[in-house]
Formats: sequence, C-alpha cells, structure tokens
Amino acid sequence: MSKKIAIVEDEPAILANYCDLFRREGYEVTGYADRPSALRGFAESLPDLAILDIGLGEEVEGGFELCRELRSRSSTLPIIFLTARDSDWDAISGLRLGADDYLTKEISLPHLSARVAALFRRQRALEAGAQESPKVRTAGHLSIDEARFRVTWRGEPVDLTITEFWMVSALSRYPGQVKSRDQLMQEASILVDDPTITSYIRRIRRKFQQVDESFDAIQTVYGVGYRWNNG
Amino acid sequence: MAEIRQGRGWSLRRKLVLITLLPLLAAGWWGARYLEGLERQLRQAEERTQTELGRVMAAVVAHSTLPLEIPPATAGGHLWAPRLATPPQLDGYADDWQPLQHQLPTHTLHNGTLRVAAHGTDLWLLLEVRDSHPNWCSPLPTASLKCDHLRLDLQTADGSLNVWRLATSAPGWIETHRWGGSPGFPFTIQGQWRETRGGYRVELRIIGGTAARALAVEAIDLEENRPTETPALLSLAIQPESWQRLLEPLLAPGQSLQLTDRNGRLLVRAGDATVSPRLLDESPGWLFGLYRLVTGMARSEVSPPPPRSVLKEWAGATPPAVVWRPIRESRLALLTSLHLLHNGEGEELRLVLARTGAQLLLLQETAMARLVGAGTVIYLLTVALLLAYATRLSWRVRRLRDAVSASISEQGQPLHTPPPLPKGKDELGDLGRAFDDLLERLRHYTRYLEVLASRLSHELRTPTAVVRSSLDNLETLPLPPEAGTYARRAREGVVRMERLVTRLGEARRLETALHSTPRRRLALDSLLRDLVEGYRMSHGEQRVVGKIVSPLPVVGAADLIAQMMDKLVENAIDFSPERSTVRIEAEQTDRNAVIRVINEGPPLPAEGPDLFGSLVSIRRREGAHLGLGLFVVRMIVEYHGGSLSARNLEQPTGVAFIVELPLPEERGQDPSNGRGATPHE
Repeated sequence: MSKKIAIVEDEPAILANYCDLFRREGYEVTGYADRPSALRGFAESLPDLAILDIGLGEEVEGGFELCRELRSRSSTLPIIFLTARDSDWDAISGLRLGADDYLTKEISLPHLSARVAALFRRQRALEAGAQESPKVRTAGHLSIDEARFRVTWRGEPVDLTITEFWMVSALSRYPGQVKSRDQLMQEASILVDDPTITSYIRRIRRKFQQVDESFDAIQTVYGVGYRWNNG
Repeated sequence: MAEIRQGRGWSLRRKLVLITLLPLLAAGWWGARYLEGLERQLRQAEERTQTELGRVMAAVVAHSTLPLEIPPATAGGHLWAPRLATPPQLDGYADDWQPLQHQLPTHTLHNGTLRVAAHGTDLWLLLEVRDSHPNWCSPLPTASLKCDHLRLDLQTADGSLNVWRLATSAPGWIETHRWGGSPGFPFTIQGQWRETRGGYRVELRIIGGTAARALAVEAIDLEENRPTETPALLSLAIQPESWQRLLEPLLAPGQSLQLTDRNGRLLVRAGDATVSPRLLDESPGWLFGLYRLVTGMARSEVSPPPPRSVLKEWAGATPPAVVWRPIRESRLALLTSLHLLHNGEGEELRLVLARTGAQLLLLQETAMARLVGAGTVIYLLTVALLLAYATRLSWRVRRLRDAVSASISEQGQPLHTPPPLPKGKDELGDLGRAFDDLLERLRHYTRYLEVLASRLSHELRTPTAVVRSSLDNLETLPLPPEAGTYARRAREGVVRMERLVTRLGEARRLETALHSTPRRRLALDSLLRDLVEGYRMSHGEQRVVGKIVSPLPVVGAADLIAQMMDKLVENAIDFSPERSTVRIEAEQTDRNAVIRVINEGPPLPAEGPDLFGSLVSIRRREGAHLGLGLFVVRMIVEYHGGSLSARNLEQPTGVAFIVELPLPEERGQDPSNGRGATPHE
C-alpha cells in the first residue's frame, strides 16, 4: 500500500507540480489549497506525511496552525515546511512546533523527494524498532544512527532536522577534514547561499550546546568551511 | 556625520547684532542731539533772561542821580579799590588781606604786585616786592637814599602831584620822605615793612587817601640800577559806597555787576558771582564728562577760558552781548552780558552783568547728566542683552544645524538612532520638530528602499519555484532532443534567477543575524590569516596575498567579519583582471584596526553614487552584479561601529577598500552584547 502525502500550498501551479512529482514516485497525493479544506481532509484520514506552506491565502500563518493541529493528532507524523519565507525566525518557529524539516521553495524536486524518502525511511526504522540491526556510528562523544536519523551526544539525544542531521553526518564522517559549504550543501541535499549555511551551522551548534554547554566539536575554518573535531 | 555645506556670508549672529545695533546707535545719536538741543534752548532762555536783567540794571544805573566820578585818563592803566568792611591791621602781614583776595584786583609791577583797598577815607596798599638782597638804608636819614626804597606818587582831583620815598633801615615802621609836590599835602602815610622769602612786603595806610585820583608805586632796587624816571600814573577808582548800597539789593545771589567807563575801567562793582566750592564738589565729575562728551558742549558752546579781563575784551564790543564762560574744569558756565548806557552827564558807561546761575545750571546739568548716565547704562544693557540673545539664537541655530547634519550618515542616509534634535517652544523648536518629522520620513523611505530588495526576493521566490518545479517535472518526461536543449537553458536561467533572488534577500537575513549575533573580543589577525589561507585555497595561491600585522584585537562577531571579508574579496576578484593579485593588508593605527582589500581593477569614478548603498554597482562587468555585496559589507562594518571607504590607487593602479574597526578600549568595559570578554573564539 502506497504512502499518503498531503500537500497544502496556495499557489496552484506549485501544488500541481509537487503533486505530479510525488505521484510519479508512487505516493498517494492529496493537495489542498487552504487551511479549511486541509482540515476537512485531515479529519477524514491522517496522511503519512504532510508538506505545508506557511502563508495560506489570507492566513499569514495558516501553515503553523495546521502543523499544531497535526502534531496534536499524531506525534510521529512527519511534517515538512516548504515556504518562501527564509528568515531564521520563521524557521525556528516552525521547528519549535514540531516540524521535521524547514525548507525554502528554491529547493529542487529531487532534493525534496530525497527528504520525503528519508523521512519515510526513518519512520519505517522506528516502527521496526529493535528488530532491525541499528546502523550506529560513533565519533568521539557523538553517536549517529543513520537509519533512525537519531543523534546522541554524550548519550543525550540531540533533536535535529533531516537537513541538520545530514550536515552533522557529513561533518563527522571524517573528523578533522574540512568540509566546504558546497560539500555540505551537496550532502544535505540543499542549495542555499553561504550565510544560510552559516546559520544552519549556528543552529546545529546551539542544539548541541543545549545538551552540553562545552560543545565545540564543529569548528569554523574561515574562508574554507567547517570541520568536525573529536577533541 | 554628513557635513552640511556652510555659507560664506555673514553669520546670523553678526547680522542680528548689526541690525539691532544700527537703530540703537541711531537712537543714541538722536538722544545726544536731543540733549544738545535741549541744552541750547535752556541756555538761550538763560541768555534772554540775562539780557533783560542787564537792560533793567542799565536803566537803573542810567536814571540814578548818584554821582559817579570818572577818573582822569592816565598813561599807566587803572586801579580799582574795593571798600573794606573792616580795616586791615597795619602790621606788614598779608593774612588779613587773604579773605578779600578774590575781589581785590592785583596790579603787577615790574618787580612785584600791588593791591589797593579803601576803608573810610583811608587808602590801604599792600605791596609785595621780589628782591633777593634787600639793601637796608643806613640808620641816619640821608638825602641820597643809597638803599632799596619805595617811590609813591599820588595825584589829587585838582591835578597836584605829591611824591614820597619810603625807606627803612630795619623791618618795622617806615620813614617817609617827602620828595616834592605841592605843599599843604592832605595825606599822612603810615607803613610797615616786612622781610619775606625772596623779598619784602610793605603795608601802607594813606590817611585821607581816598582823595587821590591817580597813583604810581615803584619799588626801587639798588642792585637793579634802573634809570630813575617818573613812573606812569595809574588812575584810581574807589568803590563808591552809595552805588554799592543802591545796586547790592537788586542783585540775586550768584550775580555780580560791574560798571565801567567807555574804556573799560572799573568804577563800581556789586554782588558776587563766585561759585561755592561745596557745590562744585557735590557734582560727580565723570557724569559731566560723559554729558559733555555726548552733547559736544565742551567744544562748541562754551568759549575758551576768559582772557585776563572780560572788560578789556569787551572794550570795543557792541552791546548787548552775551557769552558763556567756563568756570573751573569747564563744568559750570558763567553767563556774562554787556550793556551800554549813558549817565545823566552823557558819559558813556558799560555795564557787565555776570551770573553763575550756579544753582540753576548745576541742577540742570546734574539732571541732564543723570539722564545721560541712565540712558547710557540702559543703552549698554540693551546692547548686551541683544548681543546675548543674538548669540544664543545663533548658537541654537548652529546646534540645530549640527544636530541635523549629525542625523544623516556620510552616505546620506538618516541614522537609526540620531542624536536628539534640540527642542524649544518657539519657532526654532518647531523647526527642530519639522526636521524630526522630515528625518523620520526619510528614515521610513530609506528603510523602504532597503527592504525593497528583500521584499522583491520574497515575492520572486514563488514564481521561480513554479518555474523550477515545472522544469523538474518536465525533465522526467521523454523529450525530443531539441526540447531537452531548451529545458536545459531554461534551467540555467532559473538557477541564475534563484541566485539573484537569494542575494536580494541576503541583506535582510543579515540584519536578522546582526541582532542575534553576539560580539566578543577576538584576534582579528589570526581570523584574517585563516581567511587568507582559505581564499588562497579556493582562488589559487597567486591570486590572493595577505600582509597581516599582529596583534589586532577587536570586539566583533567572527562569522560576520568573515562574511564581510568574503564579500570584499569576492568583489575584488570580480573586478580585477585575471592573474592579477588581490592584496589583503591589516594593521593597527592609534584607535583602529585597518583592513585594506586591494585589487588592480579599473578605478572608481571620482564622483558617483554611494558605492556602499543597496543595489548600487558602479563598475560594469559581465555577469550578475546587483551591488548588494558592498551594502552587506557596510551593514557589518556599521554594526561593529567602524567605517568603510574606497580609494583609487596610483602605483600600481587599482582600488583599495578600507575597513576601519575600532580597537577595544584597553582593560575597559567590553562593549559586546553584555557578555563578558572571552578569549579568542
């Protein structure tokens, strides 16, 4: 049985394009143009994954409302924000509401579908539980579960989005080696500008620091990029 | 701070002072002229009164039946003898003559002075003679008189002349020697001879001397050896008591009257026109000085000090004549008038009436002087007040100007936190508020321009997403080869467009980042070295060289400084010819860390738009150049409290972008966002 994806997007052309993409990839896709219709659809049955725009027609923060609604119904449902808003503030708000990733609209369809696939993979791994042998890798105090997209630092879990996870994964794979911003973007399946990468890194550091204040494993190599330092 | 061009003309203060001073000066000048006019009128009134009074007196004298004797014409001048209330003591001392000094005419001899007075029928003479070696006569009276002695000639009304020689062998009573003349002479002479410092004094009493009509006195000094000749006779007029009794009651205090014959010989004198010294001392001198200065009286209205005798001066004048004469320090004036009259015998007489009007004039002048004084004080006060006000007004305007110019950055943009404009409740305050409004609107407008880019970026994102997702979908379909080419071109286009859209939003994202990025103390030199290494790795070793001086501590955000350097280097690489070198230099000046990024590209135009503004690109180059890079640099530099400039270089030609970041204050408070100074990040 194919997975159900709900896409809420007020721009019909984009909605149609996304729907086409995911249908081609074999998902069952339902598109909604505004919040009320999406709510009605969700009331009938919850999708397996939701892609939400934030501004929905007149409702400037309709996407946030929907996210809150979905999270209250299911704590595991993967939610992706896909929006034209690129401010840190919106990203932080969206992630705080429990979204699994926050993407801006210049993301390419392959990058988007890579995330969707990853989220489903993660869900499958979580459902399988301990039956599947975990692919856990360690680097210093860091341990990375590539299957479940789970990261722990000194045994404490660190809550990362898919994009952030990929970045940490890429950095920590070869500790001490400098990863340029371009490389990081490639690994994390995004295409953004340098300052956005900088703010991604800053956000990742902050998340680790919430677990361990003395965290400084991610080092900036000015003019080149970043490297993971096991210390 | 943007410099406001200053006008070359006069400052507001100077103009204001001039404008206010001119009418004040005019008022002052007019006041002075007014006072002068007033003074003149008062004086004219005084003169009229004087003339009238003189005319009355002249009439009184002309119609009087009292006898008036005119002395005979003589060769040696005229002597007038006042009547004394009490006779002096005949002792050879001058003390008892002293109080009479001011009304006793003094006749000058060739070697001394002579004063004459009358009492009853006696004539008194006081003779002061200069003689360094008095030669006393020998005790025995001799006819030869080989010693210092006096010769006294007296002529009576009938023309008979008597001559005496008076000599002494010692101070004291004098011997008199008749020396010719008609017998039966009516006079008896008594005398006292006293030695004085540098000469001798002789006091004589001529009993019955009032009968004399002319006299001559000569002190003969043996050493002088002058040829003996008959001395010129002086006509003698003795104050007639009857006339004095007639005229005195008619004169007010401070008035005096003199009656002379046609030749100005004094016959009668009545009244006293001297000013009491007390009055003179009471009036403040500086006030009169000021008064005279203002009215110009001293020069134009008052004649120069009188010649020796008013009478002589007026000898040939046509009466009635009035003249003002200054008395003592030219402060008070003596009003003198001359009148002609004829007595009952047809003899022409002259009447000189003098009046100090001391009290009146003094009061008048005091009042005027006070007026002038008060006026001057008020005048100076007003000028000072106006000056102070003008200065303050000018200062306020200048302060407003400075505040306005300080509210606008060098790039012509209003600062977000400008210094407060000076306020007030008057029009200048309104102007300040108007400027505030204006600046606020300018701020809004600038803000609008700045966010325009990011708005555009936001709004363009959806349509580009439509194109991109459509292309993504299109590529999954089987396309004819030609269509594939077009799809690829469309994708290239959309990629470029997306890059532009991202850049457009960069400034806004940076602004958000600025607010959330803490500043801390960091070693700029090592950061720059790392960056240079990075640039050499990504652009090639030949392309970028660094010359960094250590240490360079600054307070800032490393990420932002790195972003700033990225932009500067990117800009330098873009605008410099291939295979040329981009130099990165850093050094420390007194208060700043200075970073220079130098490329060998074409120079910047001398005059042009603000290089560091949003959406400004000056040098044309193929490829997309929105001109946002340097705007981002500017935002980061301003966030660090530094300054940014660009300069063309001569040798070798190129352009230097110069960033100056302030050094942290030594051991001082760390100006970061409230966080303590931490060692290098």
